[in-house]
Amino acid sequence: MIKKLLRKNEFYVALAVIALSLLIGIRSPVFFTLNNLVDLLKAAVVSGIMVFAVMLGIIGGGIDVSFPAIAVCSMYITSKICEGVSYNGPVAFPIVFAVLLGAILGSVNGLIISSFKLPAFIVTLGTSNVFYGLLISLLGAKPVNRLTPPMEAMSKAEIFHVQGENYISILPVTFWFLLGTIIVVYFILKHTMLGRGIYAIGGDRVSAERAGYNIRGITIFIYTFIGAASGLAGISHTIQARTCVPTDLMGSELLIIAAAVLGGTNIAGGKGTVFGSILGLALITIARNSLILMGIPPTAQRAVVGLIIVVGTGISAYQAMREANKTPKVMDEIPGEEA
Amino acid sequence: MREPFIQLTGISKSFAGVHALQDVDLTIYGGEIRCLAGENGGGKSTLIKVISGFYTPDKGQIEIGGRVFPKLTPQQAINEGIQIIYQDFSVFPNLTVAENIALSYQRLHQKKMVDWHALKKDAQRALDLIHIDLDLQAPVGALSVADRQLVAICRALLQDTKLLVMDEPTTALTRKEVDALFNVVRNLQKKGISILFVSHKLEEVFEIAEELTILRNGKKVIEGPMKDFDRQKFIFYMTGRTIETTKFVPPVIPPSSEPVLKVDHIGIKGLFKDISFELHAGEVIGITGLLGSGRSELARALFGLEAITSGKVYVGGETIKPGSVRDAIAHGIAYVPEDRLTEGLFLPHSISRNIYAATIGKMLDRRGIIDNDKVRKVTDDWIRELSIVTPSGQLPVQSLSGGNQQRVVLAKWLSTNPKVLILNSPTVGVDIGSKADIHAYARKLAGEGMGVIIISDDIPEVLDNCSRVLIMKKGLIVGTMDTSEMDNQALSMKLSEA
Repeated sequence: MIKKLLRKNEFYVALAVIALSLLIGIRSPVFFTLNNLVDLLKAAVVSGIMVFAVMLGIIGGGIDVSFPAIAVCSMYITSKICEGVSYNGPVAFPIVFAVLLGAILGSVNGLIISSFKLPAFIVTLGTSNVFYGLLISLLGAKPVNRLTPPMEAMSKAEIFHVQGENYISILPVTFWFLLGTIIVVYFILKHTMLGRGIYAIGGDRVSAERAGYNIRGITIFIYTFIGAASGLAGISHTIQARTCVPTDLMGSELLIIAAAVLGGTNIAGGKGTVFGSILGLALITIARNSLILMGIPPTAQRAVVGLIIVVGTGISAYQAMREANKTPKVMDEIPGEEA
Repeated sequence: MREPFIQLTGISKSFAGVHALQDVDLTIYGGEIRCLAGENGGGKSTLIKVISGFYTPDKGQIEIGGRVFPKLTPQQAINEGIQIIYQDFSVFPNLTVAENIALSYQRLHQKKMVDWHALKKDAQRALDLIHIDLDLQAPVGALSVADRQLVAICRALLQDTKLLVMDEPTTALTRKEVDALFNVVRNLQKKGISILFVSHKLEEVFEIAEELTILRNGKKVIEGPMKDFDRQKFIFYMTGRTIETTKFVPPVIPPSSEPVLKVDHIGIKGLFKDISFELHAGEVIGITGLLGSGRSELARALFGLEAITSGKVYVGGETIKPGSVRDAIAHGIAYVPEDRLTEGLFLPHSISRNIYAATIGKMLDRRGIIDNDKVRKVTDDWIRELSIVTPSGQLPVQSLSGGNQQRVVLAKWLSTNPKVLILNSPTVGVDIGSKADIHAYARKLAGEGMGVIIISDDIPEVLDNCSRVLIMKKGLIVGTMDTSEMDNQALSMKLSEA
């Protein structure tokens, strides 16, 4: 039983999270305050939504790197339109609009990948640049500094707040989006045939084809979903930041994918759990946001996060290698001295 | 008179001008065990894919259960009860046993949501059908090859199979596992299921099949009940050649001659120990043992792929550094590995490159750049010498059949002018014609002064080609036999003795 636990990747990630937390907390007890916890939860929302979306893709065998670009396109176009028409209706509409926009962009990825049977990584590398490039060239890069009233109002809405010694930490309502995404992804992966199909395709594409799985349909679904979730992440980011800056989020691809991989999502496909990804997200979020509490300057933070990623993925890769190379012992029944 | 389950008439299929199948008729009756035999490239795989609906024939008709299917799709084939178990079993290594067995069944019922409870029950039901016990929660990737095959069979059974097509099912199985499989097959037959067994393994075909259909070069050359065939007739129709199996006559070794290879009490902790033997020039000796006896590990150790922890290996009087393949090659040892696809060949690279892979140094000109003319000549020479069937030496080696691929591996190693040639299971997955050719070549090399070791669990192969055989069990040599004193039965029995 213990052995089984030790073999699970999630165990080591959990250990790492605890170790890192202790390390930071001992250096700076501020880490263990409720304030800090709420701040971390808030910081996890946007990247978190993207982690769980991207995870679906990786399990299915494809690495999508266009999700930040889709997030930015969705949020910027939505914000610009709202600004342009001085939108004052329910905040739900811009949110849904952003999600749909993301879904449409994602479906473009899905169609190209499934129709031409190209690797997702290459396709999304291309579309990422196309989407972002078109956005900036057509709409410019001027930030939308004042959001329309409905979005402005939402950005101030909170689930609860914590009164700390020096300041108040607010858990924004956008946190529900993260929770919602986690629940939806969990449900899809664990309880639907679609989800098992994603694992199947990621595990052995040829076998999935032979077994009659709708590869094309599932692929299009995966990338459309990633797009939709990215749209949600983008608009959440805008609401949380209370401003829409189109250069934000770009470049976060690798960190998000790293969070998923650290959480046990196998980069080769076919394996990954929601719980693991939560741990991976926790690790990355803590590393990005709390190192400052240890006095590590932001410039060095990147190196530290990089180190965590290398060590973390190195450990799981090492484990996988040991599993694969286990040569069964031929001679354990022979009594007497060893050779 | 049994009812025909499926009738294929006049099936033809071509790929880019190559006729894979030409006017093939095949009828499979309910509850029969039929073997579809043929050499690689003969059309067996294509025919199976036509039966499964994966390929649509260019010409011909498919009739199942009395109904004609103008354009059979994989889904239709599955609905009619046709299940194919491919050589790789098409299982998902990342999913559990229960999922592999029962997910397709649930999908058949148009379910959108996974019913985990029913999944476990259905999977267990399938396991019980063939009296097998497996951990439902185990990831299939962790199972042995034989167990994965059983999972594939269970999956097929759940889907109300009427015809089970098995493609080379015994390739990776030990004798015991083959027996278990054949038991399962006979049980399935009793339930009225037809089995189409695709194989080119002589002994097994004779053991299990009732009816035989042989394909050669895309055409059906003969068909009939198994009892009408004997070994010679089988080989003749498979290859179009009459192949004589003669016994290898070892040279008389002058008493004072130095052995070309001397192995002195070598061992690797946990894998094998106390292995000693001598190999003289001109000898072909065999090392055999069941799977897990340590014979493969010994083979790898002799070549330096694993470092020995005790004892010494001498070639021509000099010791070889343990764990150094480079040193082994430098001293004249060559090793044709068990798994040519992953250990012996650079699949996407050309035949030519694969041939000079171990002797690039010899292909350079004065400036140290690869001399293409030399490469061309060397490639053509080897293609001719080993009768490698290919239109061009520039084609990727993965385009070749198993037998031809093995010849390329052989060419690569023979280019190094070895003194000792170690062949590990050299004719697995190789057609009968190539098998005979490889054996003949090994003997020729011995006749020219090379020392040859054949490591194999193919008993006839060992008996026909080796003068002596070392029997390994649980990491030790338990016997050295003179092959002139043994026959198939005796050696089999010696191997399976407790």
